[in-house]
Amino acid sequence: MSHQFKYKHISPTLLELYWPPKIAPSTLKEMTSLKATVQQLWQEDLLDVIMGYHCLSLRFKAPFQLNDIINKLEEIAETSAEGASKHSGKRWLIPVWYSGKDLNMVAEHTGLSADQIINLHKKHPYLLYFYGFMPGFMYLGGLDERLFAPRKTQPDPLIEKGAVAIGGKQTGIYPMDSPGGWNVIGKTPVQLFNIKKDPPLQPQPGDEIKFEAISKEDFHTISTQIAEKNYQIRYENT
Amino acid sequence: MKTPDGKLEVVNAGFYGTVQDLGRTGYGHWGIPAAGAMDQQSYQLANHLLRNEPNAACLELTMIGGEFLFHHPTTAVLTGAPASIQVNQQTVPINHVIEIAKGDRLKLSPVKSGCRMYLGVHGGFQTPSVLGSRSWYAGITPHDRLQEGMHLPFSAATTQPPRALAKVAMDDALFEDQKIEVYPGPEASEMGDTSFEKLFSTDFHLSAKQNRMGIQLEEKIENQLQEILTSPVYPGTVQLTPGGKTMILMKDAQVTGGYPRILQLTEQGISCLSQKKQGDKIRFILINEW
Repeated sequence: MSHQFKYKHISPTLLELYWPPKIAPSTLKEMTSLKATVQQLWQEDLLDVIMGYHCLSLRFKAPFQLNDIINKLEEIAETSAEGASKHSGKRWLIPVWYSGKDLNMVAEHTGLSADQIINLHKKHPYLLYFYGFMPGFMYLGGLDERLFAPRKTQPDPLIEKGAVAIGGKQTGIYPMDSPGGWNVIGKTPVQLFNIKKDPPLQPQPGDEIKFEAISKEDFHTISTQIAEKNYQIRYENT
Repeated sequence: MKTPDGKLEVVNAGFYGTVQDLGRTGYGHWGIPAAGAMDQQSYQLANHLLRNEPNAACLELTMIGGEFLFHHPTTAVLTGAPASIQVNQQTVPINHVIEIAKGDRLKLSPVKSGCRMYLGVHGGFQTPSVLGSRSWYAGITPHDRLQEGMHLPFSAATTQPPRALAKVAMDDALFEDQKIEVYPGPEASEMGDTSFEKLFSTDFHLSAKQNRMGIQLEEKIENQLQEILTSPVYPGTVQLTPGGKTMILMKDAQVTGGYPRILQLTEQGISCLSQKKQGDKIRFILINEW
């Protein structure tokens, strides 16, 4: 770990560890590495471990001794300084039918054509930082700044499951029906969160997400394959 | 072995009801909210009185409890907000284990004070357990709110019933107390002293904007804090919105958020707040050490 981390003891059972306040792939690597280590170390004592962009929170089952935990964390940080960099992740390939109802709105904001928006959106892979907001919702880093488009002032009452959208400086996929203020630019037939599956989701923080443009026909073909349980989300090793 | 063939029929679903237990912990990293009984204290009392496992599922009933028909004998108990309880039109007391016969009808009047009631049965309700919890949440469990005509399974095992009429002293503070205990939140130190101190000298009132996800308060607090990088939030986290409104996150809250987190309710504080309703007055009481 390349820095001395800060922490806050929030309640008798809650501890937050902080990295510098920015969205950075290096922070994500350090955080996922430390997360894996603490989960192994305190498996029996931890209730939940949650990540934000620069904050890792540890919820313990019972009140803990702050000094003991911090000393141990600093010990870990020293010994794992080198090991943290060898993350081998997956790049998940997510088919998108770019036909969203708000494509025009994004075009208006950005001054780009629909084709340019689509090409920029699918060009580079995105880094999955963490899940939040709702079950299975991915916080993705790496949206091209030419695609930044403000959230709607009046949220839509329903954004459909599978919607691919842009909200401010972020892009994401709605894993279930939800109200929302993001601009919908497309739709994926892939079910990224399915509570009936074990585990209900596959991409992990540190993995990449790459969008692939598909036609309406492809969308329906894949939807049918999914309904017949004959489709696996494709991925490459990175 | 539990044989889940007892059934509770929902004759009238009341205002808003769900099945709840201790909650779905350990899946926050998938964006899955904790859920679980809002007032853990009253929920746990129900299981204690029934000598159930601590995680046995109860019905959480908000404001207006409704009416239920038992298709199998069991023992049951109601805890939480005081309401008039009738079994076959006979009044029975709250916080008392009740013997239930097949065909008994349980009817609840609207709560007299407080907000949430807990109906427990012997062995707990046996609705599906998903990721270690039976707590209802849309998209996770098959159902997300109680509806007329539902049949909720419970264990019909004819074990020795718990001590009939087991009783404990009721904690009235939960329903009458206006004091909500809080710790300073992660961003508290970035608030100006004057604004921060104002949090503890202001009478706050619960607004109509409230549900199991969160409770917004009416009064505004001057806010100079910037939004933060999306960070973890918890049941009991008090967020300060750009407009100066305070929003207290509750059990169904999302797991991350971008508003500054100025206070964190204690477990007791969450239970106490869960028994407040629109218009009720609260005061935050700061706990600096533990």
